Amino acid sequence: MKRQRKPRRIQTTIALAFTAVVFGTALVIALFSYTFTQDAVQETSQDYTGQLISQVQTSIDSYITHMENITEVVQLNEQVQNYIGGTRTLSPAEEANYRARITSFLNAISRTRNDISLILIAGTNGRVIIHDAEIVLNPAVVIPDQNWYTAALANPGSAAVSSSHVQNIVEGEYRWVITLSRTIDDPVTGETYGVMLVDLNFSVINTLVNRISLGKKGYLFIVDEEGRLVYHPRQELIYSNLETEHIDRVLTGSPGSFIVTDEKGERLYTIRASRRTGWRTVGVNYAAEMVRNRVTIQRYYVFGTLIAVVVAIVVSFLISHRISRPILRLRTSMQAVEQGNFDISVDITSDNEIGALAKDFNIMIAQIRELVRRNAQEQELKRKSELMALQNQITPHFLYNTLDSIIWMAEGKQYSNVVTTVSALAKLLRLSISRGDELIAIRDEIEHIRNYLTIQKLRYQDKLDFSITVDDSVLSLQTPKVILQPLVENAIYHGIKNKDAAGHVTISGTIEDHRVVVSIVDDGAGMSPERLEQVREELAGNNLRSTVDNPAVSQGLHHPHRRIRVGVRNVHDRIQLYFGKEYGLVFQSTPTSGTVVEVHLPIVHSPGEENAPS
Amino acid sequence: MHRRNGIILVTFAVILLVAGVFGWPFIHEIVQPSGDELIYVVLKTTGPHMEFWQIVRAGIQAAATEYDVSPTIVGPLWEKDVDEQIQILEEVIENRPDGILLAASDFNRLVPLADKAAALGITVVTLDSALNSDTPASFVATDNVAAGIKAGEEIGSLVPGNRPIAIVSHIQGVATAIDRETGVRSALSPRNPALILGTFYSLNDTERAYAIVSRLVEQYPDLGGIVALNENSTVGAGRALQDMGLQDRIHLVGFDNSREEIDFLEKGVVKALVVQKPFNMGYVGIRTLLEILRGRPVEPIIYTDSVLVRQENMFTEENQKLLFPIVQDRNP
Repeated sequence: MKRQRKPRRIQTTIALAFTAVVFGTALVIALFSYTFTQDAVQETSQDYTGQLISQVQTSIDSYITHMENITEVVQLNEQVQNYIGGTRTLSPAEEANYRARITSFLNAISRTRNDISLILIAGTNGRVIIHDAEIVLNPAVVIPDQNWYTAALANPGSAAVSSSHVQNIVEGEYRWVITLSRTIDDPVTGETYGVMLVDLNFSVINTLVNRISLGKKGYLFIVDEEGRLVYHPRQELIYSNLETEHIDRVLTGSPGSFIVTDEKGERLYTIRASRRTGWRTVGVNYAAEMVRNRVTIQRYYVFGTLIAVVVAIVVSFLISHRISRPILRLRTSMQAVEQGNFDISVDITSDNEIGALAKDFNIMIAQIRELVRRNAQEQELKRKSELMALQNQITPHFLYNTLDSIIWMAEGKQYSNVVTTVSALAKLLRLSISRGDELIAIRDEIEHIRNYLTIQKLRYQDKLDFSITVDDSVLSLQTPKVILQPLVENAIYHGIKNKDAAGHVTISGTIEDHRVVVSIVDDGAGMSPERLEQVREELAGNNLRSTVDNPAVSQGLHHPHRRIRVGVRNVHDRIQLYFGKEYGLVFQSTPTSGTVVEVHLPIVHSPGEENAPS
Repeated sequence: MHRRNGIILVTFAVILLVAGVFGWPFIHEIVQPSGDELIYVVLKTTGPHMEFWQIVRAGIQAAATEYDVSPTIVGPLWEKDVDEQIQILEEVIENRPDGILLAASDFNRLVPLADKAAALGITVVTLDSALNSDTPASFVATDNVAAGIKAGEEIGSLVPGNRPIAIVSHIQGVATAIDRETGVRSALSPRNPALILGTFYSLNDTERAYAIVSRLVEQYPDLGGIVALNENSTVGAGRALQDMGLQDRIHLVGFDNSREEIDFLEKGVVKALVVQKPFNMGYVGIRTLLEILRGRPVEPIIYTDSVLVRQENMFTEENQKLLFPIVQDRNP
């Protein structure tokens, strides 16, 4: 990857991160929910089928129980016992009486529920009685040959329940019923008198089962213990072998469920067995339908996830755009500042961190603008003050005095003094003409002041004496131009000149505490403490501008006293301008014993020897 | 910067597109469950009194459930109403279904409509009664020749070889009459042709069948057996034999399973009945139509079974379901 990658935008990063997070979350949630839902759906559908089947089973059992209860009640009826169990030949009146009473008894029972279609008692003695006197027996039917009759006799004392079948015992009627039959026994001897039949209209069960729905294709069937179909929605097809049903597996397996897979697809068989009838009720669910549910769920989840992701992408783009747009604007402004344009401000008023950043940026730009302005102003000041210093260097007054001295020395034929003075003046002039660097070597500054003092000494003769002792280490260091002359002038003018005896000016230069200290010491009149304090206050008051720009100050420069004071001030200000507030002039003075002015400068090497070992 | 933005936009568009493409069938599925075939069934009658056609409908519903379709079942109220069936079929064709299962009331008069439907790309399968046309893709019906053979064999085994047998048919030239007669005659072919007294037409009228049988008994005192080829012929013949008390001497084998016929069977007036399987017919009809629509090959003629029921096997599990197909409502 040597190729330089483009810096990625915040917007992109936020959008991608956001999308990834939402997608991941949505995916995980969808997967979890899907798994749970799928299991739940399958379980629910199995439970549901099981419950339905159990319900059907319970209903059927309750019908059967009801039928059995009827047989119990009839069995205990004394009339029935006597009529069916009797072997004595009855008179027609007795016969009619019995039949009327039993018939009305059976009729009353059959009326309790309209799902009972027939109650019939057939005695071993050949007497047959039905719940409705108007019902005529089918002459083609031979009762002892009937299934229900033989089934009851085969198991005396307990109820036999038939599968669903067509009851043909009533003439002209072929009704689908379920027949419950049981023997009627002598309560004492246990001898069987006959068999009783109760028919349940099969439409009851038919309706019950038809109401049950197991999906579109699923169905329910009931099979009895022998494998006969009690109910099956496609019974005809099974009998014609157009369809097969897994009856064997239903009968042999224990109740529960099993899965069948054949050409019709996968099906779940749920089986419940009735203790009462031995019938097995079977619910058949097509797996494809459960799968259809599953597929639907799958699709819902896939969709939900996709929608979440799409929404996430859109929202994240909007949000990241909102975040990154002000940042981009800020950046554009910064680029403008890089180009040097400080006259701008960012117009972002949002209430968040970006807004604060923009506000800070605006403040910063304002400060930079102010600094630049101040810097330019200070440069201007430096230039002006330097000009002023140079103007102060050799005043016409000084020149006049010097030339007057030279004339006077020449008249006195003191030629060597003339030479010295003129030579010093010449050097002085040359130095002041030489415009160049703002900073010069201390050596040159000392040389300059030596020339100046030489001239002044010739003027003041024995009244002025001077000595210069500057350490060699100091000589090559740098200093602003023309800082000593105003101080020496001050020493002469305020110190020596006012003294009756000869005065001495000593100039020394050393390094103390990592700074250059040049001292101008005079043993002149000195200053009163009040005056000293006044001078110090003047220096401390940072009013450089007033010394330079004040027209009143400038106009007063021709007055020597005033000019010198302004000159000293100018020196102090210039040093501070160049090097900072910790440098400048320090005055010490005692009345009658003189004044010490210390010039504090940083150690500044000349450009050529900056890196030279000191 | 802009290119990256573009890539993201394109990705976004692709995601939307993919979602759309993959999602559409899902949405479609959810909104409208799987594209069921549009199927119409035009029966001879939808009247509630016609047990046979009610059972056909039950078979149709069973197949519809199994194959996941929802056919619309229509038909005239009365079975002989050919004009109304033509009108109904016209309306059905207007709906441009995928397939029509048609039980034609008339061999010829419905042909133009069936041809029109086929021309419109509608698959037509005929049920129970054939059409005089090649356009139906398949024909599902009881194998009447085989049914006739069953009846013929039964009467053959009941009647001694030296006694004559008569055939009472319904309408001359009707497909069921021809096929059943062919079957009966082929089963009786080993007999002396002179003792096959010929075919007598009841015109589907019980009175006429009664008269025919009465006359035959008079004319041929040693008449041994009668084969009646449809319900009304069987009922008429049965009533005649019962009224004359000849049921033990003259054997009657009939067709179909009306309540009266079943009564005769139980009482021995009718010795055997050949019973069709209308449930299976309806079921196989829909199954066949769907197999064609779903691109599977089918036979041009598909026969459903018939069963010969005697007194002794009337109430077997299988036969009682055929003879008494409808579970009556409970007592009022």
